[in-house]
Amino acid sequence: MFEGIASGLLTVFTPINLLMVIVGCFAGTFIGLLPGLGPITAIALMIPVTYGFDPSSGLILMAGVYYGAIFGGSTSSILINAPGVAATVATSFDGFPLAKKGQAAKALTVAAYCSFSGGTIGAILLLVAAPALARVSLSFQSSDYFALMTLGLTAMAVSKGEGAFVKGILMTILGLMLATVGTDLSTGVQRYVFGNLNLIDGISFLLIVMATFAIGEVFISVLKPDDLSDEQRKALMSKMGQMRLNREERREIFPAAGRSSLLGFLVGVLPGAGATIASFLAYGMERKLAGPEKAKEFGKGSLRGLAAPEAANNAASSGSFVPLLTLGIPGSGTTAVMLGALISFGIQPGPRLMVDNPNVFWSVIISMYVGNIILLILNLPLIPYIAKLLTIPRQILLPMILFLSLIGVYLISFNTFEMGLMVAIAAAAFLLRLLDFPMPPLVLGFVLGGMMEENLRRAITIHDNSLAFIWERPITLVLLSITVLLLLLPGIRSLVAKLRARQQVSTAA
Amino acid sequence: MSSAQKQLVGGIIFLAFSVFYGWEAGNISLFFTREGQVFTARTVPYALSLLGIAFSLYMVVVAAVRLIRQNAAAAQEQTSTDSPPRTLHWRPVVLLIALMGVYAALFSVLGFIVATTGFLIGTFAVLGARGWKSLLVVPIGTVLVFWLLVGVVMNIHLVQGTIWNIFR
Repeated sequence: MFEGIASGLLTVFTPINLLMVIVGCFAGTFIGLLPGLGPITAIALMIPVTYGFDPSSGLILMAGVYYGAIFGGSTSSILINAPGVAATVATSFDGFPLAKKGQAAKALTVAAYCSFSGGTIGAILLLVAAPALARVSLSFQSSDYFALMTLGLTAMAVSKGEGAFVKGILMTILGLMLATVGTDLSTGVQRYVFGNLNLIDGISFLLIVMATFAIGEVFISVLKPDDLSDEQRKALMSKMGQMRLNREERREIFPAAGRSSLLGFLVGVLPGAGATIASFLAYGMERKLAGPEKAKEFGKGSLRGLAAPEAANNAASSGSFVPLLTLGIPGSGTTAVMLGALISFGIQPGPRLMVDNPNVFWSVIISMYVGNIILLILNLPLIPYIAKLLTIPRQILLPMILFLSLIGVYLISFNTFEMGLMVAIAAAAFLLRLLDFPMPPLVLGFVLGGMMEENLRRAITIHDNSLAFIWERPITLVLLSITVLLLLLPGIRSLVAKLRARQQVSTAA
Repeated sequence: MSSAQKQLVGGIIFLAFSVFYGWEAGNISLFFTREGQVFTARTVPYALSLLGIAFSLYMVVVAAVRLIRQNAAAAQEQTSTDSPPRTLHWRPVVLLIALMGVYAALFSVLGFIVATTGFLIGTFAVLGARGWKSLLVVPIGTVLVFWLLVGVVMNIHLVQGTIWNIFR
């Protein structure tokens, strides 16, 4: 492990890769700041830029963008109550009230320190957990991978909440369906091409991500513009207050950040759970631990209430890299995009990654930690200036995002058909979003579709054209059993709720 | 639109799409050597189609039951709590989609510089930008900077436009 860390350090601490981390952190902060745009869009916009880069450099840039985008999202949550992503919604509960009290700079400082603490603890845990899990997963076979991917996809759908569960499942299926378009690599047969030569290679991953996230976010922010006018934003930016924290405040936030980081990492490792659930859980945990008096401050500008979700969402982001790097299975929309990027670099994440590409494996982990330090060093003094970006008029910013998305897809394929297809998919995805269908399960299904089919095919072939692997392989059986339990969970929950309600009615009577 | 109505519409869309997808799976041609095999290029599409049909049918049925219950309870209030009234700006969204479609269609005809400048001016105008600075300087400046960076510095070919061949 120490050899790996040393090689990772050597790779990251080259001038070009350090530059990548710095540029990534800045670009990510900038994109993440824009309301509605989160890490998925930020990473997707970077994919065309990184083509032709050395894989380590490309991935280091993306890791920097990832952290920067999360930090940027927190900044817009605190300053204008516009969370860029769901993971920073809990940040706005106490961050925005602090900004309204004229303590925006203090809130941003707490966010930066806690993000750093979450990222640091997360990166250290990742250093330990990833190699251990990678060793275990070396014993995995095709059927186990198939079962694990099925579990990951189901967990992602279930995480969308009780009401959205079926919607999440349907979006996953849609993603899997879209992944079948093009030539089936095992048989050479064309599927869903409709005689169009442009579809023979399938639909580009970048096209799907840009259409569903970047362009989708633009459409949503045009359809439902936020309530703050440009003048109101400028007024909020003008009273930032002091950045310094006193001893009492530091004593209040640091233990909360430590606890939340640990919780965040553990939640982040679970497929489908991710940073959003981690941030809400940490917020709830801190409110309970705070005691009745302090709990009243939550939602009105509590520093502890701000520290907890910030530390948790950053630690969860590191945690979500564990299944990606060790099993090759993304647990969230963002890591699904990262998986697509890794594959586009010719790198297959999974247990062999640590053996075949140790440089990539370790440099990504080390770059996350370096990214955290750079975010703290660079962004903390620059916070008041970075915040000025929020005053750029949206009628300039939104067309730029549309242009960069369209031209990004064109520059990958040099085919205008892809631009047209992207517009069509973006319009369809926008309609689905209006009907409250979640997009991350679609991306995850699309990314995993090809691999799932290949592993299922291999498992069936190995087991003499039968499904005997389901009960013959213990790992497969356990994973598929958990999947079935997850599928039944919403039904069980509503049944329990109904029974409880009946019991209450009968006791009241 | 209430959440039950959204569920119903979404379910119907997915049901129709899954049926179409399954129907088209039958048109996937197989090599005669593979026809008797258990796992073919049609296996996963058929399985996905069946799953899609099953889950979307479930969604349609649940949504229909919810709607019937709401109607029976004269749930005028219920629907209003489901979706609080908010002004939706449909016109600019439709115009943006149209502009993007036109941009994609005319990109290779007009070339990068003309098509992109037109696209940016159009989108800026649709989103309410006014004045010559916003409508001319920013789009033209953006296109020139991008062209210099990508086309000149990085030496990536940006299409010049077939229409200009007439003048050559």
